[in-house]
Amino acid sequence: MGIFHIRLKGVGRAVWAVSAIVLLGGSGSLSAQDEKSGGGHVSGNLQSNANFFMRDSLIGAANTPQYDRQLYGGEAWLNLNYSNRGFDFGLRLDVFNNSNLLNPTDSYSGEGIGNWFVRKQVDKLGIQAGYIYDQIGSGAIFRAYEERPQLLDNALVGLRLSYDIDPNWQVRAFTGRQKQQFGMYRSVIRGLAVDGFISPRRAKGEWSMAPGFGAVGRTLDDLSMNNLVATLNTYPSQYAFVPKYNAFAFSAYNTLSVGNLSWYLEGAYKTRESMNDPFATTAANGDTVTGDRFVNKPGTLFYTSLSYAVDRLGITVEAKRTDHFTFRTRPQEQLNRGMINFLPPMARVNTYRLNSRYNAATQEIGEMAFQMDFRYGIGKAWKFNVNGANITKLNGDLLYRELFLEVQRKFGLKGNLIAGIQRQEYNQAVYEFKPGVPLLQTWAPFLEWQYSISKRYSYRFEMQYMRTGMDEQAKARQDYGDWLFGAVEFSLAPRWTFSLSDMFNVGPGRNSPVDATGKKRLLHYPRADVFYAVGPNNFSLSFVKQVEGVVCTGGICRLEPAFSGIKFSVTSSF
Amino acid sequence: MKIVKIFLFAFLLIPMFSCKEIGPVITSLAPGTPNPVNMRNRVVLIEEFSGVRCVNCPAGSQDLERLSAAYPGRLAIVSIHAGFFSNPYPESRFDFRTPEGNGLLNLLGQPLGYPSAVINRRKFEGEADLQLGRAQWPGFIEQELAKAPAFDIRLSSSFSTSTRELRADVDIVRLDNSANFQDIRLSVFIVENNIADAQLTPEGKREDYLHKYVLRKALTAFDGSPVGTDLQAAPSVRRSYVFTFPSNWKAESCRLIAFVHRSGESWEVLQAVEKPF
Repeated sequence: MGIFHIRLKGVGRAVWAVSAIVLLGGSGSLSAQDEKSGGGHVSGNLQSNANFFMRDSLIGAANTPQYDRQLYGGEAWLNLNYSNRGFDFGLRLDVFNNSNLLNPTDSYSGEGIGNWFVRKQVDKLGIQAGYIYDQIGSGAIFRAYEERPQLLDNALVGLRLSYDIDPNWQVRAFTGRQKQQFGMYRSVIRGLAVDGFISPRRAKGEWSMAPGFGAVGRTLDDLSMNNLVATLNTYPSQYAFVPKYNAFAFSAYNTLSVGNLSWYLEGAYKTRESMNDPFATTAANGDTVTGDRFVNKPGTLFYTSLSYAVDRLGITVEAKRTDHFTFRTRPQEQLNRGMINFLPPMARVNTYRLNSRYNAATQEIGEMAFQMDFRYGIGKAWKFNVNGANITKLNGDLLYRELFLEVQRKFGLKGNLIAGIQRQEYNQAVYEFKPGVPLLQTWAPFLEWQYSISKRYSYRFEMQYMRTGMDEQAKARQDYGDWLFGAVEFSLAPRWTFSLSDMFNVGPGRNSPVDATGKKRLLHYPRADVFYAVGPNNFSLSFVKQVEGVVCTGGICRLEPAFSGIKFSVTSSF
Repeated sequence: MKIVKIFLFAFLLIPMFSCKEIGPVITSLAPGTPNPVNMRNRVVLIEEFSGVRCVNCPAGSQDLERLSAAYPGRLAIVSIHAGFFSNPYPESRFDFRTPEGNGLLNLLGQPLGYPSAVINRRKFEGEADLQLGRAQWPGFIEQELAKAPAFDIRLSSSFSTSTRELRADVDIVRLDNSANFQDIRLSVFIVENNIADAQLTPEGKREDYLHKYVLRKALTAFDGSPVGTDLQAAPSVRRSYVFTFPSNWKAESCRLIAFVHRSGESWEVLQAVEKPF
């Protein structure tokens, strides 16, 4: 019989109830023998990071509690899942010790149960209680998800029911409150979604549709409303309005597949509610100021994606129009906090270091975005990729434009060469709230060469260069100027990987650090990594000097200060 | 039949989204009109964190001006230049950063974004930390104004224009005899108003921007001077301070702020007062 005992301060009764069910319901079922006989099944995974901070005021890695006095910060997530007799149980322990993930310039400590759930399918009815991760459509009106690099965890704590009308149609309904670290926001969120699949028998394989409809409601709690009213009371009368407790969002979506063509279309509407407009202009006392102000507006969102894929050809065209589509658990929340929905990013997710330096964060208040992706292969040796994105404000002002060209050439089974170039135009004034700076322009060619010497040994070489435009007013290159990045990676399969890289500010720009004489410094940002994998366990040890920048994960971006120090991580699954 | 079922489930939408709500009442507070909070003599301390490179900070300053007008004499505002956006520009006349400001930022915690303010150093229900975004200031200010003060603080000062010497006397009178005042401290700050200097604004850098409520100096330690033992022994205590002004400070634009607060686990402010010289 397996004995399973966890003692944690601050764990709620519900969690103990779940644990008790696991213990009682699954008593005697944790052994391998019982598992084989159809009993319980335990699985889990661990992710842990340890950061050792080494102050480097030259690159801006200073003046945070970690650099100044704490010297260490870390996070860990231990996830346990247990299934038995048609029940699924999940429990996750979260640990944050002087962590800088929640607020990159501050320190956060806390530990406890970050997630638990009980799930059971009773005939056609699915029941889940606890922490729920789910989404409706593309997530435009509701998405409860987790992005650990930004400590974003929007789980809905409550109840979720689903009902299978038939194998092709399902209805889901949920109610709960959004998670806020180890507590919860007060606003109540509930929703309903109907998802289906239609494929006429006589046309099977020729066309199909996956239509859906969703609706989400949020009722603001009294504390948040009182706070909001107090704020609105201070507004000049022309900006004041009567806020709503309840806001509703609706979306209808459909994927139509005809042969090799797939077309996704979604339209969403949100009722009038108070939201923060970071670019609102406010006139008071003879002065006009641009900045955060609550506005009372309805929102709309249209998103469509058309894909065609055949043999070695793939084409995707996307368009999105966003107008005041902020939907949060309370209007006071900003940046990546308290988001009920998720607006998909409309620019390529770049992976190379310099190509991913500038990212187009979704503008909830308003944007018009287009993206096109074209892929084509000639034989087994050649692959081509062209990607273009164009994002403007609703008034036509350019926010972001990217053109990305990539060619891939394979040399048998051993060698692989990737080369390309990226052109970006990035409205730094809007994305990073840096007024007065001109539209940032970059050219960034890149090259990657990968070669397998033998089954055991392989190496990879990466090189990128970024040329930025001139800032005529500052008489310097834009932002941090020009960069050169090089990386060498050597792998000893199946366990070891060693990597060395350097990001060199080869042509310092307007914002690059200066020395005592006022001369721009030519700074290096080196990095060294060792990765070790043994079975399901992975270890990494890294020495990192990282320049400040906007870091985006899954379409959510925030300004991250520079990093200097050592990172150690362990991941495991069992 | 399937279609009927789908419509039946869709019917669930009606109770979810039906019924008209009764909204709150909005009473726009014109400057100078009496506000609805009760008239206790509570003065609320607002420690705003700012920086000359913080593009949104002028909007925060405008908010504070509005709040100050809505609650005349009831707010003691300090603008603390510290953190990532506070490095002066090459053309800046002043470096507004102070050792006290850096100490306060470490004491009260780094904000997620600027401008941010700490109100009476309280961690309010539902908030992750002491730092609050602009949208939350008015609500929590009202909440604090409604409380009864635990102390009366009387501030008197004299300033010699010839020697530029300031003498300040702070009298703290205990109003609540039942509480434990062992951990009580007194902090006294000098703030200067309307300093023309460079500031980043949404319209670009302005070199003649008028900075408000700028923290210049703490006459006590940045985290306060202990007065708890004396307050346990006597109903009132007096502390006196002498400070000589640097030549580039405008004394006529300066104000004194004194406040009594806890120390240790909580740094909650129990009463504050603000006064020109």
